[in-house]
Amino acid sequence: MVILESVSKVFRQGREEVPALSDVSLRIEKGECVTIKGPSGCGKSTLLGIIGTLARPTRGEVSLDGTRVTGLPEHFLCDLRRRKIGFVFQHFHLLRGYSALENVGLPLVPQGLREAERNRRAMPLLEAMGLESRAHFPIHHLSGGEQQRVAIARALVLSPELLIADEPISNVDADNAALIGNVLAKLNREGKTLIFTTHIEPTGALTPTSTYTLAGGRLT
Amino acid sequence: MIVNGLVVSYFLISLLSVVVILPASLLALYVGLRRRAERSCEEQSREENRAYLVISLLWLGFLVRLLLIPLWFLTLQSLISSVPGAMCLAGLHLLDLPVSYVDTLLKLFLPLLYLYWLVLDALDRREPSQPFFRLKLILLPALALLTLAEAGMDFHFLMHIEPSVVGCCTSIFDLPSNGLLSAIRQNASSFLPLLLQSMAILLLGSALLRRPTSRAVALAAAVALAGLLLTLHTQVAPRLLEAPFHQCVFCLWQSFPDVTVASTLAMTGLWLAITCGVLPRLDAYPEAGRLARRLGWLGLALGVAGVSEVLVRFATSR
Amino acid sequence: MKHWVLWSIALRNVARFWRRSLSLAIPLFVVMALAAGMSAVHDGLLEDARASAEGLPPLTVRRLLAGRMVPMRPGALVEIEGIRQQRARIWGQVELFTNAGRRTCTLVGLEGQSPVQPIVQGRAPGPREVVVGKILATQAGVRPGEKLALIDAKGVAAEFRLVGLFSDRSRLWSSDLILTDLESARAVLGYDPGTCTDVWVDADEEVGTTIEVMHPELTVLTRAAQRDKLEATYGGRAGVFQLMWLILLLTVLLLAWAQASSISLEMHREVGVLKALGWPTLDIIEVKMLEALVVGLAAVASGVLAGLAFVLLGAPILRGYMLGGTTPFPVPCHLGVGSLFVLFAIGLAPLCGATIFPAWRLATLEPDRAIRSQ
Repeated sequence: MVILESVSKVFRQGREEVPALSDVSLRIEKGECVTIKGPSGCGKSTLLGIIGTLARPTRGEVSLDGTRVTGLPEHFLCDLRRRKIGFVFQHFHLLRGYSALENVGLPLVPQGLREAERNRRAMPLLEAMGLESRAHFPIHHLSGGEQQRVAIARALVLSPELLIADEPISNVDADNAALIGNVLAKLNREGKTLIFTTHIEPTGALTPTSTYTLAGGRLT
Repeated sequence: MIVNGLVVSYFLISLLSVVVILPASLLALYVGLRRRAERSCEEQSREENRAYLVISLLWLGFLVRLLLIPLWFLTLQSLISSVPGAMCLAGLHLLDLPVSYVDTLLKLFLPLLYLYWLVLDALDRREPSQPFFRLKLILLPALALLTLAEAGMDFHFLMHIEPSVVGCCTSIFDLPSNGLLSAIRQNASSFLPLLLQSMAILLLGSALLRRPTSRAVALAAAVALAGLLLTLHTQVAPRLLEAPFHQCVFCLWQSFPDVTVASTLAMTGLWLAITCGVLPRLDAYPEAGRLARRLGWLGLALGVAGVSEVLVRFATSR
Repeated sequence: MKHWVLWSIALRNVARFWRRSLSLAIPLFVVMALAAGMSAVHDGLLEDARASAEGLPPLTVRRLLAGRMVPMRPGALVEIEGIRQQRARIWGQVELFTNAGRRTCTLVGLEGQSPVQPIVQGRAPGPREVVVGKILATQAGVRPGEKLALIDAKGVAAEFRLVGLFSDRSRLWSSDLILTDLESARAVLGYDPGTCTDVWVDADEEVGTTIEVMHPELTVLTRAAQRDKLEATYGGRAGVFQLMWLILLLTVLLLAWAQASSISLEMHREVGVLKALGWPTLDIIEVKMLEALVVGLAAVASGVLAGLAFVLLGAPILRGYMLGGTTPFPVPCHLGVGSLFVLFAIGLAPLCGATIFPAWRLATLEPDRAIRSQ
């Protein structure tokens, strides 16, 4: 389902070139649960960004579901992300000034859905996360664990096949880490492909089918 | 040159339209010329980002063009009282012939060209291979040149408006002379239905086709557009439609706001239908082709509605 | 449909970042209020000029000598074909004394019974009687039946009785004109018997040419020409004002540019997240443009309302600039559709122009880097 062939990524800062990934090849099948480990700054997030089409590689090829995404125009990549990929970020990245429910409905905006329809589709996901009583709370009134569950609900609102989570349990306490781990594991059992990075051992039911380690921009 | 509030405002917005289109066209030219089939992802990103700027500027340019049309007529209207003898816009236009008429026509026509570009862009972005990418980027400098020419003519025309005595429109449009034109005029009542019927048959024919091609829609739209232009033409319309002869297009649009709206609607719609119909190689691109057909039909519907309103107004106010 | 949804998102963003929105809206509001106030006075004056022209005859015939008006004899026009009616008129400046003080007004005496302006209270003036506009009557503190004094050509006060009022549809006439009969005007202004200032002629415009051909010493003014002259006189200052106002607008635009360019870290991340969630770049540009448009619309609309309110309250500062410091002419207030359109166009279009580049820069950030920006 996800294929990376000899992918490299170099960041340029002025004249200086900072290599982030070097010659990474990877193949992830549908329904797999893959974790990518490595120390801070080793390029895990960059790799997830490239898999999730958030960044383009400097060299190499990326394919999703048999579609070569490397040369696709940007608006096709947006469309692809909307249809196929859900993101969960380490720092949740929920939008302040919106309620939990409105945050979950944000990916539906480009489809032109009205707020009522967006909320109608978002509510069951918040319920599934046990947050129905918090649905109309401003996002900054929620705890870290609750915010992360809102972020997962947001990632799921368009029923993507691929879920990409960048350090999903690093910024929450142990109880919430276990809870979020269970939620992600359940989604994986339901058939979603899960790729996540972590620098701590996942707990609870979240057991990866494959584990890769990234060091110095290379995958082992 | 007479400077009043509207003249200053008009120049400001006109300057904005030039400021918008010039960098857009230069950027487009740069992107269009540098584009290679084989390019790195970073080059692709840079190119796309530049294209986004061009598209955004073009949208802004299009909206500014739409603002400029009423602003232009309001500006000229405000100057009539300063020109002895001029009773309406036609009198003002006499001050700088033929630049004035070319300028005003261009002002009406330029938004349609901008619209064409935006349609081309919408179709282009439907296909991953972006088949019209180079074409649309290369078309932009031509658009910029026209915009610049129009701004130059604006300046030229407004510079020539001074408090000198001009004849009013009665001195331009005299009663129709006898002879051939007069003969046509006498037969107008039979000529008009013929024209309308031809249009109707063509439109009906297009609609009855199971899967009408964009070209059929474009043809129907072209006929309707020709009909509209004849309807509005200062000297042809009175003969064909038995309209009051002295009603030049300026008087018509000022006296009947519904005709102004309908003419705008018709021109925009029919232009949309024509441009969607004449695009090359649309059959090879299913997504773009589907959108073009939809836009074409939308344009035709708008156009026919607009033309009908103009004709009805003529029929009822004759 | 999508565009409506993007509008709602933009509205929401304006409220979310309200400090930022206000920092742009307030200066734009002030500039637009100023511009709207000026336009309202300008349009009001033009409207008044048009209303004033309605009371004029189709043709006014004057005698010029070396470019200056001199008294004429009306009998010269008798033999010209096409003239339906002609009425001698005498007019000039006089000083009016009332209980409220003294002021300079225009005294008009017209041959015949029907007065220049329609009487709304009382009757047409006879000898030693006058009719004034409602505004002048209010300002001078006189009522029908009361007496007032005019200073005649020899500097002697002449007493007149106020017998009627005419309407205030034209503020210009209503605050300045004093109507009397022809002989009384002749006496006060010192005209020789049988002469007049000009002649009001009721005839088609083409007759004006005949008059000028037959009497080269006479000049004919059509009603349209007089109206144009009034409009041009009152419309002239707006161009100068607009230039000053544009400088202010330019300052606001620079502010808009600076404000739109200063992108906070939160905005960076937000755009990165939205793109990660599948928002196309053009949608983000559209939202950012709509945000500017929403702020602009609100600022321009409220600025226009504030400007109108300012003028309705008497426009203390603008009044002196537009009308001259000493004139008792009340500030007219009228904002035509055309001016309203211009105000919105001039307020919004450059604002969008100033926002587009920063909006594009923000929207084309690579999402991966935008999300991780620190």
